[in-house]
Amino acid sequence: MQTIKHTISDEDIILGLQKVDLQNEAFQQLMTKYQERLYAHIRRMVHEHYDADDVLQNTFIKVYRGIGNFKGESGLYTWLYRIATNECLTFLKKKKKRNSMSIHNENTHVAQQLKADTWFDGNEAQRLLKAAIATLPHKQQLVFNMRYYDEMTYKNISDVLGTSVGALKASYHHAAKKIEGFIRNNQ
Amino acid sequence: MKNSPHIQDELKDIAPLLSEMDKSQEGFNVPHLYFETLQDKVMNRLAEKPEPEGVFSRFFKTLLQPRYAMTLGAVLVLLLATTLFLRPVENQHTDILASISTEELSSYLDENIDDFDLDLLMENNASSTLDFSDGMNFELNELEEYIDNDFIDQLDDQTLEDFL
Repeated sequence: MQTIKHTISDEDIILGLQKVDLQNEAFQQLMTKYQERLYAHIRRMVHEHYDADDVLQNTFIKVYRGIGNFKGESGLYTWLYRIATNECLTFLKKKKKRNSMSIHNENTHVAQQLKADTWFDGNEAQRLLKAAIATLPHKQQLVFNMRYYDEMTYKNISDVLGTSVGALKASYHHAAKKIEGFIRNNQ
Repeated sequence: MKNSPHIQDELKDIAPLLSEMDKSQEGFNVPHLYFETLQDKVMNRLAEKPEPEGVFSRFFKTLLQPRYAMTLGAVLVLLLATTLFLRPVENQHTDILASISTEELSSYLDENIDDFDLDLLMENNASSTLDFSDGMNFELNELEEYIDNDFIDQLDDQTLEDFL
């Protein structure tokens, strides 16, 4: 995935979103600025591109319709992340209901899914890492991804997930240990 | 993808193998021009599907339709009227009486005894004891008995006629 640099500030985007005549333009700027980061966050959770596309579109629709609820108490990106995270969890819950899959065979499913996915060209180590992450409960996966891949501070993760910093540190520590163990056992 | 030394150090302590892995490439790809077309797809979906209304929003919109609004208005007026005009009057009187002392009541009765007939006094104090300021207490039935048996006997015919 390519990363494009966007210079427009969050403040300008928010100001635009609050004015009816500038709303659509500002919303497009918001999508341009954040679509890749949000896509990556979602894709790490749902794995398949078409699922990630669906969840991302739903996220943006919720953002557009809920922009009036954005009070600016947290950063724009934190708010977007929170909506995307909730959409992911809703999607995964529905999927789990459909497939009635246990957490124990989810890693096998993810490994197979990635092998068959046209839009995944990672190597064996990357596939193994994704399978290892899939063994974790969804909330722990989110914590691990946000810290490991996005390198977010615990404070920011706390703002997104509404969990205390202490609990997040413990969760990340536990997740990393479990992943390490899984990789060692399956290398 | 950044590679924060602080986060790497933290990971090294917990999971050394994991900390050595290259995380800059995850292996996820997207179809050609995916991000270039995403915005149009989202904007089209927004234009196609108007925001679904919540249950409460639909309920209030229905209520604001003229025929429902008039019914609702009438119901509200009725409720208001019921509250204002049909409030139990007894309670108000009870409240007022509660604030008057027994001495004041007795004194009022003494001064205006001629305005009350015995039935009224009895009716309103059926179970109570009248406390007179001179310390003499009478049960109502005793008073009635006294009037019937002794007091009437003491009255002359002219006074009795005036009473009746």
